[in-house]
Amino acid sequence: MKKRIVPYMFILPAMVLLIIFKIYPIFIAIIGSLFDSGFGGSKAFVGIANYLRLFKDGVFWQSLKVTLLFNIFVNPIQIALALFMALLVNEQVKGINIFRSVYYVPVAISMTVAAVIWGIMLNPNSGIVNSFLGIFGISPQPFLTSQRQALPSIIAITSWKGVPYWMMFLLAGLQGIPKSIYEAAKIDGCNKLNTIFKITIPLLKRSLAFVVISDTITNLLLFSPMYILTNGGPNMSTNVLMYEAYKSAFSYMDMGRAYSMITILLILIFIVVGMQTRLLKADY
Amino acid sequence: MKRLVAVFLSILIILSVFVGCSNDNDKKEGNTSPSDDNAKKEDNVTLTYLTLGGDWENMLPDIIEQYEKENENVQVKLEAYPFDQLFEVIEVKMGSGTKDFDVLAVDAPLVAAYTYRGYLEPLDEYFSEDDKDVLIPSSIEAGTVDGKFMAAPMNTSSQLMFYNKTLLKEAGVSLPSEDPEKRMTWEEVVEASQTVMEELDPDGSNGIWGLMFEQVSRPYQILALPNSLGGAGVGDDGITVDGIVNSPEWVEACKFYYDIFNTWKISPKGTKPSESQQRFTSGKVAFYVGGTWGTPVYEETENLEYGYAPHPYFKDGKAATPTGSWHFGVNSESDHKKEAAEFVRYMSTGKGNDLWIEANHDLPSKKPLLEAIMEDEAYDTFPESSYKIAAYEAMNTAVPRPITSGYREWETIIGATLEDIRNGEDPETALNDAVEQLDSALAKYKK
Repeated sequence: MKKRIVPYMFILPAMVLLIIFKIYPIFIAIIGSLFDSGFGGSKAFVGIANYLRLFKDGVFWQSLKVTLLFNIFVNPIQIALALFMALLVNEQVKGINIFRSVYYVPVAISMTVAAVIWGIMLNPNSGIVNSFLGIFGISPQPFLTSQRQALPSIIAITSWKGVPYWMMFLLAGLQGIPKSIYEAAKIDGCNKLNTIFKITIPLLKRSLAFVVISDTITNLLLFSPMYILTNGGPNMSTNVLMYEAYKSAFSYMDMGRAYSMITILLILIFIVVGMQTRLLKADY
Repeated sequence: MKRLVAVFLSILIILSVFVGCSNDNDKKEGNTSPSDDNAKKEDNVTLTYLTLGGDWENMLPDIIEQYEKENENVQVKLEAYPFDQLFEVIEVKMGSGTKDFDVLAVDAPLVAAYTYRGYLEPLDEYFSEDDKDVLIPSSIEAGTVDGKFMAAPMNTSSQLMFYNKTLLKEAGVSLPSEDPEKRMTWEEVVEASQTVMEELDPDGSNGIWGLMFEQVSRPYQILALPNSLGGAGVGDDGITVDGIVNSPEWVEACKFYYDIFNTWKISPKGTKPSESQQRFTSGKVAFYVGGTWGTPVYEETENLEYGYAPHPYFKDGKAATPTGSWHFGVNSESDHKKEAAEFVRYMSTGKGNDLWIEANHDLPSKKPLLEAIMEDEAYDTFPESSYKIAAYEAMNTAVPRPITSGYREWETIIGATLEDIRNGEDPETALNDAVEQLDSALAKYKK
């Protein structure tokens, strides 16, 4: 009997913290979404009224659309680039560690700082990016001040930071693949491209699954660059659900609306991650 | 034995988590009271004052030190946040009923909202009629809700149009007059701005701009545009916005706002309010609408030849200027309300206020200080005469921001809408969208 207890005792500290900081808030959000929280702590049970209100709310649908649009692009871009870079830095050439370190530098910069710096570089009037484009005769671009370019700009900024981070996980996965398998493939006359698709990627599935899922969750919840750079604008083109929920809670003082948005976001994450887990299940 | 060790180890790990937590708490408490020795003395009170960061963080400590000298049993600790975060911090902290701080900075139009939410302690008990008599009526009014004095003013404010003499002279544009009767119209400002840009920076490579607003896209400053055409912020009930913020006056004012960035291109997109002043001091902006607090900065800027003129107005409208500023409130949950209110009194009507006005060059809300500006000859010459213009505006053309319990929501949504218009969104569509959002956000106050 005692033998059974010990392992649980070991995971207890982590579980306690998870329950306090993750599970408990989730329940607060779900329960809170069923209440209309007034001022001074007053609460009234309203059932699903908050959700019904949301479904009639144009801003909510716009935010949901932006969230999905952002994720449909940012996740595949980040993962494809991360994989490509991981394959590159997995090559054994002289000084490869220098490349690995240089690629990893953006990770060491906080999202807030990165956003501010990129905001300055992307300034439409005096930003360095426009000066650089000018060399090639490209007219100045509006970037974050344009409804069409703001979201792509934010995708680029988050990828600049995200790609090397996920690259490291994939690189670790790549290095876990035994060399003997590659040697066997070489002897069998398998070319480079085939090796990647027939050996590397299938054997990388576990790392890949982790990266895909974690990256998706991170990006579904991401809102700091929007908060710092665009405040959800121009014209709500970067107003992701998480940011709208944040505004609901702390600018509009409408906790019911914020909680119900968070709950919907949570359900969305469950669905997406559930699908990804099924699709990426390793068969070895 | 092995098992015993394992159990012991796991208990140790669990304990370490909690011990780790409590250690953190100890440290935090240690940080919050730097004068631990003093705090141990009986009757000693440490007040925490939640306020705006930036320049204030350099100016306030001296005044606080003076207060602590005069009140030996009271220590005041400053907790400062940047402008963009301060309001959210207040909502989060006050929403949880915290006792973490005793005095807070309250932006004038938010007095009603904070009162409605029960954040503020009424100050009537601590402010005698004599105390209040020192203050100008508009500031008392801004701090009063339903007949109760909820927040005492720190100062009031006004805006001037600064200009770069060098640029205007080089472009052959005549300098604006300081006389409020001869103030420029926006139409004239646009024309002069275009001339400056055409003459001095025809291909845009010098980075010269015609016109900039200090607090670009912030309602405080931009409201003066619809106000000049007679547009109001909210309906008389404090909640209605349909037909108000999408009225023809607003659409026309916002069309102007759209045009300066998109049609005439005399003002830059993509800059934040925090970057504006530097643009002007770097000598690249011809006309700059900003607060009186800028004057000491421009005085100290080398190679900046500047002047100021009264705030412009629309040819078809009347002069309207921004006003109102920060107030002090006492946290309704505070354990030291009496001491907090005493401190507020010192800072608002007492000596602390004189020191503050001297340090920050705001427009005072104390009658004696304001009268001095109007009557003292020292305020007849450059650059002190800027305060005279500001005082004139405060008394004659100032239009307060809308009075509504939902000002936080109003400000957030209107601010985002102005930024959208600046970035090229059609003014009428943007304002109609804003009405839709505001109606939904303000619905809770209709109950």
